[in-house]
Amino acid sequence: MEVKWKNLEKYKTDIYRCIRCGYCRDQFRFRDNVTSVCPLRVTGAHTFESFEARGKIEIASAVLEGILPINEDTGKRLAEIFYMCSTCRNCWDKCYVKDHIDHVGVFEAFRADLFSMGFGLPQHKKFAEWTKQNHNPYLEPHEKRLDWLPKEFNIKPMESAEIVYFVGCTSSYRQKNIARATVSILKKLGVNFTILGLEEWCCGSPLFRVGAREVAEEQGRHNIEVIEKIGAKSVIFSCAGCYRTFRTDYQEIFGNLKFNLLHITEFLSQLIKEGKVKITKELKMKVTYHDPCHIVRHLAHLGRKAPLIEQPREILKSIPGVEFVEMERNKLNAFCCGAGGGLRAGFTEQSLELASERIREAEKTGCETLVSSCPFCYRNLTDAIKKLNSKMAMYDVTELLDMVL
Amino acid sequence: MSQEAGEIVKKLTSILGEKYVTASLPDLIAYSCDISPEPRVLPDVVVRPKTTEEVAEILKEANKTKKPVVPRGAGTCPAGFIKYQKNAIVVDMTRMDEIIDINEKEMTVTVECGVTWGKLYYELRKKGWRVGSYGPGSALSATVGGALSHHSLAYGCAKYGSVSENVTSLEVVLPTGAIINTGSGAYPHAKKAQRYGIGPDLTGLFLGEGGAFGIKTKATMMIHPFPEAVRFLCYEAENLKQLLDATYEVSKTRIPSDILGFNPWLNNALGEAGFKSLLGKDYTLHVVIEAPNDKVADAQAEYVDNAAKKTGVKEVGAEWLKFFYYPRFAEWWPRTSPKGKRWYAWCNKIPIYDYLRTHELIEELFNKYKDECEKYQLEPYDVMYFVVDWNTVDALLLVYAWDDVPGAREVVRKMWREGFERFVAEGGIHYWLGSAVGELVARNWASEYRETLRAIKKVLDPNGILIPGMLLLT
Repeated sequence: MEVKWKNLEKYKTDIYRCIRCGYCRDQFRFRDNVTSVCPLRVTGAHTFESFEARGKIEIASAVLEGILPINEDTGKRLAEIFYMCSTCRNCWDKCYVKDHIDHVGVFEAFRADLFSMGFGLPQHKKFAEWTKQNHNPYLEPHEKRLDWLPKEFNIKPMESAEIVYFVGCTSSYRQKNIARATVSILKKLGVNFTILGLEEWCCGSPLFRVGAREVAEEQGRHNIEVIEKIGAKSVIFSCAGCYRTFRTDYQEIFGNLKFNLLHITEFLSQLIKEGKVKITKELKMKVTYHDPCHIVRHLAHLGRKAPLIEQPREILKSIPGVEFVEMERNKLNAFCCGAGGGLRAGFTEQSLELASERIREAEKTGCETLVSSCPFCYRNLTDAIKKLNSKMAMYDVTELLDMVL
Repeated sequence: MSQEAGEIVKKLTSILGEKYVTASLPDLIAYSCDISPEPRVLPDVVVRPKTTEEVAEILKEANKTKKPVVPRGAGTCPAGFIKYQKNAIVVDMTRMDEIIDINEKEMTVTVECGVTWGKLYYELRKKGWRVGSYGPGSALSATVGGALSHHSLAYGCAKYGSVSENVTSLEVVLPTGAIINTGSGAYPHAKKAQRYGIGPDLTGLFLGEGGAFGIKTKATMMIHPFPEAVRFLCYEAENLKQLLDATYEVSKTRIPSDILGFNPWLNNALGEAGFKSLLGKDYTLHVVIEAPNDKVADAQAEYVDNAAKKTGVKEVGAEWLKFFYYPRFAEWWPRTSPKGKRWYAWCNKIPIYDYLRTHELIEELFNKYKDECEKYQLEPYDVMYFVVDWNTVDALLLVYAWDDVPGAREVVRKMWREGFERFVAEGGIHYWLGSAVGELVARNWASEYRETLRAIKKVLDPNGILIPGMLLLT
């Protein structure tokens, strides 16, 4: 095994700027309603400081200095430490260092190097290998990618259109309800769009997160090529993870893209503002909203207006009859659902505990409906609802809007 | 792992379970530093107890093999506490973070000592209460236990003194594993509402001793109603002497909760960050007045304002002060430089007018290291002071450094140690009791005082296992 930290080396500046204040692990701020930082610390999954952002940064500096030898024992422990993290990026948000330390950048680089040395988790290795062949991490055959699409929608993939709807693996194979609701809305609104069908490959998000970068880049390169082939001006996403991957990872690796990127909540809230959405029905529901990390904290470094915080709320508030209540931890402070960063596959129990904590928080609002705008959050939160025997009903924001159009 | 470490891991595992005991190298590295410029020090084992009884069992076990034990809060000591971890069992106290009782009738709060000041503030604020002094500069992450071991101070300390002044009672596990309660908590029928009146003040023995006499597991502290009205006053002084005159007169009123004096560099740094009223100012004084209502606040502000202005200082806009005050635990000084370099800090408590001499000492120190600072891209600044207990100021200076510039941290360390030595030699009174300061302080004790404390340590810790070397007591 060759020990190389080629990805981590790129983050040397970030690593050495850490002032070790510990605000990335624990922080309560009354005025800003901050009551915790690291979700895995809150739920008690993290046993030692090594698992928390400051500890991991210290470990990263130690490996760069060569004082932490990598062998079977340390490699396995490092994998446990660096993979038991949902990469929710709250540590970045709460960092007091000027311009913030890119904690998740460091963690993902560390993971990529671990993965190259063979210390990736078996579950992650398995889905990376599968994705290389079948372009999805769910161990599903590629030819079933379009099974979610009802014939009555009458959509032919890869047709020339101004807009591409990028469905994503989770909505294609698991949360098909979200893909259907999205397409239903686009049809009802008369949007000129197409889908990529079998030409759509995994966006690479789970692979980027766990460090299987080569496979991830291969997927990304293909997706860009086919979208450019169609000549679409914009790509719409109902998956927060796919959107973030195009917006941040793709742009970083492949440079500026030739098409616009829009999350569905961005697209729809703009149409609502322009008066182009005719809502004809009422929904009597008391609703709370879960902010996905991918479209909030993971976009926060791109500018004050980049995080998609208000857009989903505007959609919900535009629906007659909906009573909207915030959870205690919301927007940039939202508690992670636990699905992301490879945590769900790698540490299922800990991932589900995060989702359970979030459901308990949603229940405290007195709402009977929890809404999100990410199929992966939806999936983990739904599992937690089942585990807790909660009466909470889970919806994607597209599903609610589709009901009233 | 050595055979000895393996044995101790086995025994500690039988107390705490496998989940909360580690001797794995990556884990130990995460615990190998604090926020000082001191080099990494690896412990042998790290444990995370949940109860007082578990802490007691750990200490009893350590006594059997005379294994060093070092408690750890948030690991935010700026003065090199890390040194004592060598080959030790580090007891990470942060699982003991419950706020046990907010007793509004008795006006006390009882907490486990691994709780952070930030969490304590948050929970008290929800109910309309506060502790007097809010904790150290790193209060958002620092623990109650760590701060009590160092007489920490920062927010609210002009009026309320160090965090130790909050305390009425402690639960302490002695190095032998015995558990005691101090203050009125020592008296089985009494409530933990009073520190004094049941005999000698043993609470004080366990405060500011760097943790050398016992592991604090619970603390009861006085609480105060949260102020309903706040006033902010800010003044510009023509020179340092005038700033100190104004500080003295304002302190003498015994009204403000915070009194801060800023040097030119900080005024300009904050001015450039957007607080225009500080831009280009040499010396400024910042005063916070907390009161139960507007009427009292206005009267007190008028009184303090008159006291300040008779020294000739001129009022300037207090935008920064409002910005600092309202979020609570905002930073008084930038912990990273405008370029993003990280900070290392010194501090030094002295009577108000002695700051003139401290200021000279700081200039001498910076001049001596001028060439090295340039060579290693270090930026040293004389930053500010804040008033403690009306009669004293705590002077803060810092040096910004790129940690990855080879040799830079070593120069910081050299300069930092020399700074502390100069301050102590000239009568500086400290409270950061990590190795760099604690040992200097202890060397300067009168011999009878030292021997008395050593005798106490011997009684409490016959095997010398708890933080060996702290304050040179063993």
